[in-house]
Formats: sequence, structure tokens, C-alpha cells
Amino acid sequence: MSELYQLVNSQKGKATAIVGMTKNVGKTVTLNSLVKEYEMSGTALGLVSAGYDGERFDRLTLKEKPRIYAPRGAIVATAQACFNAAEADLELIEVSSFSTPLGPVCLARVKKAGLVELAGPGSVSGLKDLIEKMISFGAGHVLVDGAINRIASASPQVTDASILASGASLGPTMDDVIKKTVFRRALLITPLLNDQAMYKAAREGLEKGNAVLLHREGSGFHADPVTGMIPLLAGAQLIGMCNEETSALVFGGALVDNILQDVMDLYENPPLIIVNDATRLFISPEIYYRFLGKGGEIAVLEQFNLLAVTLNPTDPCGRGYDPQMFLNRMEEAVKPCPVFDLVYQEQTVL
Amino acid sequence: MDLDLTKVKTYGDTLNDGALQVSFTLPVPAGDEAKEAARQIALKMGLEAPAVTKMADLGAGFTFFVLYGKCTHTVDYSKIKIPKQQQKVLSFKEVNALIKNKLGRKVAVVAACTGSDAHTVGIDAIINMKGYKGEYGLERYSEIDAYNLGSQVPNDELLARAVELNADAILVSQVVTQKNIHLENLTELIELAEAEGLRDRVLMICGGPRISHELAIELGYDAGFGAGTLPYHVASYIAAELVRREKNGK
Ligand code: B12
Repeated sequence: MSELYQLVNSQKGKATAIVGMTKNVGKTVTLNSLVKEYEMSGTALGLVSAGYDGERFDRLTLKEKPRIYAPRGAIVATAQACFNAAEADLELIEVSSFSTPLGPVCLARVKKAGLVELAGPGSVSGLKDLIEKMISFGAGHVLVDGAINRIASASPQVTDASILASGASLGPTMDDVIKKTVFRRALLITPLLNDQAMYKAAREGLEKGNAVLLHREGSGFHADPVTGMIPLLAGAQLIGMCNEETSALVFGGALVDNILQDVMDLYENPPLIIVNDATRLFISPEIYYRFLGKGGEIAVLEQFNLLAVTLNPTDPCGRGYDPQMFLNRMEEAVKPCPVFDLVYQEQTVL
Repeated sequence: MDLDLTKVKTYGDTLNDGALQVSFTLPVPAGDEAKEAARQIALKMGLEAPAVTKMADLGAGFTFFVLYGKCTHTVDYSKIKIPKQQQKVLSFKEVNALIKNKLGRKVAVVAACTGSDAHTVGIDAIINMKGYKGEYGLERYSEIDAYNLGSQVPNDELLARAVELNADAILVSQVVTQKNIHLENLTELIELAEAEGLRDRVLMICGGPRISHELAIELGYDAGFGAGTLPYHVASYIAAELVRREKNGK
């Protein structure tokens, strides 16, 4: 049993997301490794992709890609055309209402193991719905393969835990790859808001508006909700309303550079920034670290559960790193988060 | 000889003769040595009995070759399965009629070249009144209100405008190079739309010379259109998908 599998399997949740820092960092290798372990353990898996996985060649680089093996008994969700073309023997359970250019996403049970291409629904709400369905049809756990650098499928509203895949194709040097991975992890592990009264006020405020201003009032907080056309615009309005007594700014949607920049321009000691979860943070490293440098803090209402980082030391379009050195350096940089190079570690065990 | 679909071979004159033609350039001057070099390359490629049928001097020490040879490989055609797109295409008139009869309201679309991309010819071909290759652009459709925001539009601005204009669809154009920057600009728009709770409210469509429906699925878009797209391909998709979603009640 691999350590990664034990980590995933020790979680109570229904679904685990595998997300990547960019293309070609080994998301599908990580998925396949877990699929094999689940197959040996006898647990029926649910398999779905946040994008499109398992095709033979990369659509842009034309290089060969790892394919997806679906074990017998697994439940897969994939577009109709992929269902029809699967090498595995699939039995249709249900045609969902989510459409793709390759036909509606179908739920199917694997009768005979084999390769499948997974083309998922475009939206996170679609993924959420399909995960529920796969569980109801008997999947013991669902694995959600990520797409490119998208992480919305790892939102705590969709999946219970996540694995972050990183690798050589992320940047020109090992230092750069490590720096970018460290930054992404820093955002993902943004802490849960631990002030109960503030938490309650933020939640209640977000029910009435897209962004909320919190001021201390007695032993609790007074919430001023703002309803903009979209949360981003409501957030921009908040900036005009803050004052010296403001305790926290709550953003119901995305938090972008401009907003954080405006907050820093206004305050010497910025108030607490609250977002729903870490997938709502769209901030560049420069702005983020400057904000922290000013004593700024960000908290989330729902915690992201990052289980591990996996590494691919080679870039299919170029350079590769010494796997042991890469592993050691990444481990050091993201401590105490476990780091795996599944291919290399399997080879060295043998 | 009967055709065996489990062992398909290249065809020249008679079935299963394996004949094929290749052409390439070598950086050496034309002559007997160059011809032999070309033949050896073909042998190394696995061709049987390669013969140079044309050698042309390109000047500056380069030579172009055409060779015939025999391929020894076969493929099992019967086992090939390719996931295929499933979409009906309607004409200009049919699209307008469908929107009018089935939706009973005008459709709003917002288009832009996003991020650092300034290649506007493609999106203009789809949107502009006069259209492309003799096919009217979306602006000409009586039942579509099309807004073209131009080039280098930031993703957050595009989303805000789309909501303001109550758009049914967002159309993004990107030239997508080998580098990941364009791809990541496309995925950022989707992630922002998810974070803002807008993803299920609008159709998200991307297009550009390297984009396909399959890549669009990977990027998280509802559809993607590549080279050779005509405006009515896009209009049909939008109209049919909006009608389908309305029927499904979402
Ligand atoms: C014209 C042109 C320019 C013009 C653009 C002017 C303008 N206002 O658009 C200028 C000179 C500004 C330019 C600049 C650059 N360009 Co230029 N340019 C071209 C060129 C010659 C033609 C592109 C074109 O207009 N095609 C015609 C349209 C109709 O085709 P299309 O874009 O594919 O659109 C169709 C479909 O793709 C689809 N579609 C497109 N978008 C959308 C969107 C939606 C929603 C839908 C549904 C469909 C859809 O429908 C369209 C109609 O069928 C191409 C080379 C070529 N021959 O293709 C290079 C090319 C695109 N450029 C290229 C490059 C590298 C650049 C520069 C980076 C060069 C530089 N080093 O500065 C800059 C970048 C500028 C920037 N910031 O974006 C490369 C891209 C390389 C790649 N793919 O990896 C190309 C391919 C040239 C090359 N071979 O190197 N360029």
C-alpha cells in the first residue's frame, strides 16, 4: 500500500480532487496510482474529470499522455462519445443533464476493466452533482482528476480533500518551480476563521449581500452587507465604506489583486480579509507577500484540506531534474506537507 | 485480395502493396551523395525498397526529395474508436427562427480577446455584421444582441460587463501558443466565473486557431471553436444549447 493511498483512504470524505499547478505535472499518474490501490483494496471507485483526461496524445504538444485505466466495478462519468468509444466494457446507468460538445455526460458501471477517456461537465456544480450520484450508485470513494491549472474542483464545497500535482513543466528552473508551489500551498492552507462571533456575522452577512463589512458591536459584530451586480463589484464598493473601526472585510466571491492593493493603500494596519474558501483567492505572489508584510491576514469560512504534493521531475517538452534532489528540496520547502514522486519512489522500492 | 480491416496497409496500385510517398529536405547540395543520403533516411524510417523519384536543388546547399517506398506495418482499423462531436448545425434563418419560437426573447452575447491577446481578426469574423467568407456575423442576426469588447480585455472586466449586459453567452478568443500563458488566461476566466457564482448562468465559449471542442472541455468551457469556424456554427450552438437548458429548467 502506498503512503499516498493510506493518506487518501484515512479521510472520511466522499471525494478527493487531484489538481495541478499547470499542464503535464502528473495529475493522471497520481490518479492512476490511486486507482490501482483502490482496485487492490476492493473498493469500487467513482471516476470523473474536471476537464478531459485519458486521451492518447496531448492536444497541444502532441506528446503521448498517460491513459486512464478503469477497474471492474468502478463507476465512471464521461461524455457520451467517450462512453461509446471506451475500450473498457461499460454498462450505462444514467444519462445526466450535463451537456458537452461530445454529448451528455453519462454515468456507467465498468463491466470489464480497460481504458477510458474521461470528459467531464464544464462546471463545478456539475461535478458536485455527479459525485453525489456516483456515491448513490455504490462508489465507495470518488476521485476527481483536475484539468490544467484549474483548482475549483478542489473547493471544499465539492471535494473533501485534495492532492496538488507539481513538476518541472511549471517553470524554467527548480527554484522557480518550488517558489510557485510554495506560494500556491500558502494560499491553499489559508487558515479557518476561528473567531466564532465573527464567523457567524460573516455567514449571516453573506446571506444578505455579496460582500460584507464587519464592525465590532458589543460582544459580537455588526454586519453591513453590500449587494453589487457580482461579488467582485460589491467588493470594490466595500473599499469605499471602510473606516478605522472596521474589523473585517468579507468577500463573497473572488479576491483579486486590485482589492488587496486598495486595502493596503487605505490602511497602515489592514483589517482581516475573509473569503469563502481558498479557491476564491486570485492574488499574485508580490501583492500577497506585501500584504502579509504589512501584518495583513486572510481567513476562510471553509477550510481547504491539502493532503499532499506530488511531483513530476520531467517536463515532456524539455528539461528534467534529478528526482531525489527535487523531492528533497520540495519536501523541505513545503514541510510538513507530505511530498511524493510516485514513479520514482515505486522504482526505488523495487 | 479481400480487404482485411484488422490489417490495413498503405495503398498505391494494388491492395496491400504498402506503397507510400514521403518528401523532405536535406541540408546538403543536390547530387548522387545527397540522393543516397535520402534513400538511407527512408531505410532508417523503416521503408522497404525506397526510391528517389524527384530531387530538386533548393539553392544555398539545400535539396528537396520525393521518395516512393513500401510500408511494412499494418493497423487494426476495426479496433479504432474516436469520440465524436455531437452537434447539429442550423442556418442563419433557422437560428433566428429557433430563438424567436423557442426562447421568445433576444439572446445577448459578449465577445472579447482577453489577457494579452490582440489577435482580433478571428473574433471579429464571428461577430461583425459583415461576417466571414460570405456568412453574416452574429451582429446581423435579428434575434441576437452581440457586444464586441475588443482586445486585451481583463477577465474580471469581461465578467462584470457580461453581467451588466445580462449576457447569455461569453465568447473569448485566444491564439493559445505552446507556452501556457494563454491557456492559463482561459482557465482563469472559468475559475473566476466559478468563484463569482456565474459559471452556471452563462454559456462560456472559447475560440481560436488551436482550439477544439476537446480542448474546450479540458479548459472548463461549454464549447470551443477552431480554425475554419463560421459564424452560424457558433450561433447554432448557442441557440440550441440555450433552448436545451431552458427545457431542462436551468
Ligand atoms: C494578423 C496577425 C497578427 C496581427 C493581429 C492584428 C489584429 N488586429 O488581429 C498583429 C500584427 C498585431 C499580430 C501580432 C502578434 N502575433 Co500574430 N498573426 C497574425 C496572423 C498573420 C493572422 C491571424 C488572423 O487574423 N487569422 C485569420 C482569422 C480569421 O483566423 P482565426 O484567428 O483562426 O479565427 C478563426 C477561428 O480560429 C475562430 N475563432 C477565433 N477566435 C474565436 C473566438 C470565438 C468565441 C469563436 C467561437 C471562434 C473563434 O473563428 C475564426 C474564423 O474562422 C497569424 C498567422 C496566420 N496566418 O494565421 C499570426 C500569428 C497568430 N501571430 C503570432 C504571434 C506569435 C504574434 C506576436 C506574439 C508576434 C510578436 N512576437 O510580437 C504578436 C502578439 C500580439 C498580441 N499581443 O496578441 C503567431 C502565434 C503562434 C502560435 N500559435 O503559437 C502566428 C500564428 C504567426 C506564427 N506562425 O508565428 N499578429
